[in-house]
Amino acid sequence: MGLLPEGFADLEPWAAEWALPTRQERYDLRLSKTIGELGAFYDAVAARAEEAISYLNGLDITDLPEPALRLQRLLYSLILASYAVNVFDQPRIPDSGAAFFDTLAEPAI
Amino acid sequence: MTEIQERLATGKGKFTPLYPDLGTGPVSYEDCISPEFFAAEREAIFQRSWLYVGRSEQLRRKGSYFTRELPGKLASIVITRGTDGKVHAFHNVCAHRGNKVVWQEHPQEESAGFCREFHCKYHGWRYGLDGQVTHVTNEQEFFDLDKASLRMPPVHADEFAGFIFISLASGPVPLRDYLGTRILELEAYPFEKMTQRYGFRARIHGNWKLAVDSVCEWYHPPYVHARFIDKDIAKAEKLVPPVDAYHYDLFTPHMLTSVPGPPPLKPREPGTAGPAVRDQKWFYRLLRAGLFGPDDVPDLGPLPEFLNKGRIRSWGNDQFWLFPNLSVQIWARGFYITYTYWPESVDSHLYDIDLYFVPPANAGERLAQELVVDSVIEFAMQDVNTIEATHSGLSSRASRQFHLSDQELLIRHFHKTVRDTVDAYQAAAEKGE
Repeated sequence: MGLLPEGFADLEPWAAEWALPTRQERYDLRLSKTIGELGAFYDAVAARAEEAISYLNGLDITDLPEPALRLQRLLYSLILASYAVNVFDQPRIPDSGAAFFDTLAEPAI
Repeated sequence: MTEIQERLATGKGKFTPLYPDLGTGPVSYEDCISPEFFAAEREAIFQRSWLYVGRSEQLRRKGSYFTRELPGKLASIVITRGTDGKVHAFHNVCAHRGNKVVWQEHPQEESAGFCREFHCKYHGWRYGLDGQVTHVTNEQEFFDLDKASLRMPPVHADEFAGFIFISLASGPVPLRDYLGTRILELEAYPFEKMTQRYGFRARIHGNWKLAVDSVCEWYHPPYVHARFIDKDIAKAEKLVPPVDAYHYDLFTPHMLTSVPGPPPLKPREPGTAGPAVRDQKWFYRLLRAGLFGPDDVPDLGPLPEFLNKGRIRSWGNDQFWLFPNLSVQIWARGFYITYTYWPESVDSHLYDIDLYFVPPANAGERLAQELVVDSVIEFAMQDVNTIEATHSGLSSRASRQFHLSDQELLIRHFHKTVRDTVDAYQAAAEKGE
């Protein structure tokens, strides 16, 4: 079985790196990338995002199979990347200095 | 004025003159940089007010508990759901030799769980869910022990609309009296349906009141958050609502600000978002969410009457400020956020942001909520850094007089309430009350 559901094989190289289980890990990864790398990630995943959402909406969100869960997590990473690419033009939000929020609670799903 | 601004303008006059006690003159920010004032504020306010410590969902059943390490070494407390179904709170201190009773692995870290009794890790004394001692190891070895009076020291606790409050005062006014009629109206809101929680915490190197100030006014967004609105500040300025579109209300010590916001996007057929582009407006359409919440709003029934009392035409949210350090922000699109500010010292505090949504029915709703969360936290990081810059500027004491506009009414009110509370407490103490 592939990393992602059938029909999303072209996103597997991205999923291998970006389909991370926690927001903290996804955010750390964003900060470790250049804006060029984030742009490439955004372009690849955004192009398939609407199909991915339609596919996932057909499943029970409380019981996603592993490949679907990875696809969902890939989309969480896409959201984080979208700000860097479309709004900030850099990986980190401008003028935020050392400020950072630790995640104390996030939904299991 | 731009089209958006014309649509939202109300022609209302200024708010500050409606509250003559506040005055309109320049203000001092000594209350944010003076260590003496910080000590007085801690005693008069934080050791005496009702303080929000968690949601009722954290105490789902009898025997549920969580601990709080209230910052600045204010207190270490245990909060439980007792066998009577009520919330109990007590200091996390063993009656034997003062050991911290409830903790896991790290005594300085908060913990949560479910139990029938607490066991002290030191000598095995046990306590019930009300903090009363239930077992003293080798009791016969002690001298004149009055077991019935032994307990982890009690702290006043109460619940309101699913919000759990504690007070460290010896005889606080009842919580409901403290909140007052306007805040009591929040009970009509279905907070209990919003159990999908995200929690965040940041340490900010600035006075806690400066953080409150930073989200009490809607003057700063086109500057601090310009890029979110438009990359060009001149355009961003034109996209924010006019000053008379907002609404403010004071019910001392608490207060309210209401904000306009865009209506949700109309439903669209799947597959109609169009080709991907590097444009956040396209991305918001794709995810069906934006800075003001998801576009597919959960059905929560009719809007309770206590919301949007200022009758803002395109209402975005109401932010209720519960003195001293909690804000409950209820959004038109069916979710809420709490902001809590915990001073550690005159120039440091912990800032907690918790977001609550109705559990998503599908992946699309879940992703829309994730986008809202990410937006709020990105925004908040810019606010946080600005607070540190402000504290740094004030600490120089190069200027001592500052200027507040009409839209900064709540800031004027908040600092006055803090000062008045400290003054009243000190005056009473001098009289020996």
